[in-house]
Amino acid sequence: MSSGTFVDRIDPFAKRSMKKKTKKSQGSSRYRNTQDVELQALPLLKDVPSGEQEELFIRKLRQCCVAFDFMDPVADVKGKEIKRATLNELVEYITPGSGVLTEPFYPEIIKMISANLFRTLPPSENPDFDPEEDDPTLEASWPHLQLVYEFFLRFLESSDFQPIIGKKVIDQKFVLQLLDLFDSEDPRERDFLKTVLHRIYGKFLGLRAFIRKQINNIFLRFVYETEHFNGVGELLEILGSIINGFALPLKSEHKQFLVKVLLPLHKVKCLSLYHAQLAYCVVQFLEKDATLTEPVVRGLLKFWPKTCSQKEVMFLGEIEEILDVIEPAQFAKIQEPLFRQIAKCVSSPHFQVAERALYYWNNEYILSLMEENNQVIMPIMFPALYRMSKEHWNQTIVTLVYNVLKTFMEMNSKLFDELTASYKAERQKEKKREKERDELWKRLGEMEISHKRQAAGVAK
Amino acid sequence: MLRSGAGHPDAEAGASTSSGRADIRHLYTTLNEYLQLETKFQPRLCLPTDGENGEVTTGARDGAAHVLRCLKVWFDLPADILISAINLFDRFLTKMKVRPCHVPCITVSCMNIAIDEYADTKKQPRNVTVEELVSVSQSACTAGDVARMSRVIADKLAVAERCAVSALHWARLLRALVVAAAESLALPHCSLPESELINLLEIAVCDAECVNARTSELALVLVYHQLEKHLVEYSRKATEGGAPLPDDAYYLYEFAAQLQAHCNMSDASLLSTRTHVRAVLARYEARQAAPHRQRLVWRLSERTLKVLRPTDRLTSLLPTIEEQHFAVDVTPKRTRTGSESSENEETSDWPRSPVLPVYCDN
Repeated sequence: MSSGTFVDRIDPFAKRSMKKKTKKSQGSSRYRNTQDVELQALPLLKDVPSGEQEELFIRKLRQCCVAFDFMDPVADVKGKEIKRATLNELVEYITPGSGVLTEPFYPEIIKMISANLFRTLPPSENPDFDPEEDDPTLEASWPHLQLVYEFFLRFLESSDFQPIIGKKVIDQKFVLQLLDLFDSEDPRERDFLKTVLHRIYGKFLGLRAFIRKQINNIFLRFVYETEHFNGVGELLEILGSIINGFALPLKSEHKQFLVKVLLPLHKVKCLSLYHAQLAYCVVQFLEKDATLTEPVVRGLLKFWPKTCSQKEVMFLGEIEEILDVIEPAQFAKIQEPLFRQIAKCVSSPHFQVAERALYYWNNEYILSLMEENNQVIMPIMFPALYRMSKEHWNQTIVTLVYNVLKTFMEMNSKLFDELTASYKAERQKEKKREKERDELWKRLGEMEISHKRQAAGVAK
Repeated sequence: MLRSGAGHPDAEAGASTSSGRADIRHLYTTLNEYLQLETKFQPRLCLPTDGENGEVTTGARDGAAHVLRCLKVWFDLPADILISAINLFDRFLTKMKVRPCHVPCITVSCMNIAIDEYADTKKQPRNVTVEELVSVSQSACTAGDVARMSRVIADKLAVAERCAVSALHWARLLRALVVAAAESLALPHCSLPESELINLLEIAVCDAECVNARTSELALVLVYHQLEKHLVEYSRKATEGGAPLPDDAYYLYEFAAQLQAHCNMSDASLLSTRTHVRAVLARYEARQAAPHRQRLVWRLSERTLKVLRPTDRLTSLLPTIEEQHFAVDVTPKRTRTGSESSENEETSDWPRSPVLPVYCDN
């Protein structure tokens, strides 16, 4: 639990540095081993005759299944070093085409990997963890863990690796446990996991549907139940490479995934942690199948942030990326609702939102699309722009608004003049109505006064 | 900027604002006065079309006129200021050889002078400062530069002597004359809204060819362009069952000929002016984009510039995995056995599917 008074926690302006910084913990996900196994140093693989190497290799693998407690830095230093050196040696040994990747080794290798990697991740030390400000809680046993991951990767990437044999030990249960680890707070671990899962997906066609399904579940739980999962970005990176490789025409399963999983991922509060990867996935989808543009844009408009300006700026960035690759026919379908939202953004009192929206007019391709459809877009944008030219507090915004109005004037002078005239006429009417209303109230007020005077006179 | 005693043109043509009750004699007096002054305020631009020799081109001049127009809309200024500013700009270009890099400053300075003149005429303080003009127009010069340049221009064009008789004065005057003529013929619906005429004039003076025409011709052409439009509209309504167009309406064309004679406009030159104006207005009506776009400055705050597009932050991408192919081509060809379920990857992953694909062997 974070220290600091209750008041600090609810005050949005409380400086983070004022909170007493929790001791940088090294939450190990390992619990104390009850059996104190002493590791015995084994001879090096290169020092034994080739006939004995296989057996020694397996003994070393089994040695590495022993867990160590890294919470206590002085416990079992010797044993930890033996394991570390052994792991290192195994990593080196597996690299060239060494012939260790025959069938009997696969289960032993996976057993060692499972023993080290698969563990219950500890609850977060800092529930108010802000990935952009706080340091992440790193895995204490990283010195060993890193080597295990290294070993795993070399195993998978080795030219001797055979998925036919591998699929017997790398099964759905294994993958499920691997996916759970993506919630690790240690970014280094997640990075390894990302590469590992990417390779597994690539090599095991039989596991692909399962992996996709499980990732869906993780995302859906994240969006609709917990809003907490540390590995969303990494999983999205993997999905990006998968989406990139989709065959055409796109299967309906994939289209469903886009609409039912990727779009709702935009809703979550911590979007900034994975927005880059998410936007990449969305744009890749559109490059594969342009007809998805309409549901995507409508989806984003539906989830448009209403109270978080930073998210609005992110959305505007993503929309621009979408517009960068949009086909003119698709643009025409979504221009009306889109520009209505953009008009709102331009009118935002938050200068960054207004700025980001106005910057669209500096994009040549978007400008060319607007020019083709100016008779639709200008009437939508004009009132907001004209109003902002008079009202906005920020000088940068005012300059950008001028740029946009000038651009519109050059695009279609006649429409520009018509819109100016009609806007002014509207304002006149409004002012007249306001004036009439004021006068009505004044008259009512006078009537009341005279009525009261009468009543007072009568009472006397 | 003070004028000498020779009265302000606006004061004389003040009658033009009241529809029809003009003193015709008064209008003709003004007309003669304008004719006398016409050449004094007539621009004569000889600009090249391409800027190879580092000269101000027609395109650059038109671009400056559009900047002035945009500033007029931005600051909600009356048309008088715009027309006057453009006139000053053109007369300055007629007199002096200007370097293209000075055009932005000169443009803003002309607007500045026009705003001052108008403020003097209306005896009201100006509501746009030089600083505002400079910052909005992105002219990359200081308020001091503009003040200095304004003095230079004012001197060169002898602005202090008297207010220019601009195309707007001409347009108002001729319109008043035509409206008076229409009223004397008891022609209904020939009021020729002034705002419409002014709009047409603004469009015309943004084109270099049009300003080179005699200002009186330009005004006459515009007034009659508007009149024609109204008569055509009137006739159209007549065919749909409205009141028929009285034959007397065509007398207004004779009136035009009279005006033409009075002002000594040659057929050839009037025709040429009309052709130019029609071309310009046709482009306007066709809602065509301007040929050149001004190069504007797009400045953003540091914060926003840091991440414009979300994928800017991606440093690397994982290699693509092709669907239904092995990512790395090392495994031997798979063998299908009868016992294994050969479910296609087509099966939906969605929870609503009761069948969970187990081993898809493809």
